Amino acid sequence: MPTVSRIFIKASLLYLIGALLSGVAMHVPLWPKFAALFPTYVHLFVVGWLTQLIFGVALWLFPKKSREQPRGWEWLSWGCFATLNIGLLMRAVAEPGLIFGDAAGVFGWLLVASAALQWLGAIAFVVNIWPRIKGRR
Amino acid sequence: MPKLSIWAIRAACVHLVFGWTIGSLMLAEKGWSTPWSVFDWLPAHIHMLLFGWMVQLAFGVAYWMLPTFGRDRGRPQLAIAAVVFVNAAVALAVVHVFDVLPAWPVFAAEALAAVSFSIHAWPRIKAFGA
Repeated sequence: MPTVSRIFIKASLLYLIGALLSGVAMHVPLWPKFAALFPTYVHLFVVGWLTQLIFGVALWLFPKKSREQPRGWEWLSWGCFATLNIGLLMRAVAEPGLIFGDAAGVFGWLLVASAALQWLGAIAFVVNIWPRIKGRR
Repeated sequence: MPKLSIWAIRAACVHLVFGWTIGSLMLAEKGWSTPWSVFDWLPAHIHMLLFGWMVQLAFGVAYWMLPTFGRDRGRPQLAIAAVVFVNAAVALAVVHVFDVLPAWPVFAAEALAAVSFSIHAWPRIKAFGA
């Protein structure tokens, strides 16, 4: 398994734990405001866990692009990992910040940056995997 | 990778791009108020990413990877139907955003996709060589 796939899959497992812990926090009766964390919980689960697991496995198992570049552009895979994770972690901080904090401006801009980074991550994945969606030739 | 898988996985990637773009716009809108709102597109975002992307990707990969009967993949028409139904469901989900269609046809198309693919895949869930 290539290094980038291992990192994607291990990160996805950490997000799975994080998502489920945020699910617990949402349902602790002492902290009713945490129920507003539902979108954060869902996206930690669906983006952090499921999507990253898919990205990691696809980069590993899909047909090779070429002999010279078997797994496409390596730098693009790392770029995808970096932008997706920085963006998602920014969301995990900024979305609760917007609910609980008073610095709406800072958290608001963090959310905008988070959206842009995660968008770049998904585009990087599609650009990199597209030439690998092919038959034997 | 067989042709149907190539088409399904490429279509899944297209749904990923569109669904993800809507999601990114909605997230940005939470932090930066805009004169327009993309939140009406939330159901389309969900259907594009859960069904158009994830379910269709699973169909494409399963059609490619599940055990075959020699060189035969069983009844490919059912797998083709499943891919058509998934894409029709997402298209209907987009139409539903404009309030010209009830939601049930979207879910009906998704259910038909599930039934078609399950009937196709059922006999292929077996030991290799069996």
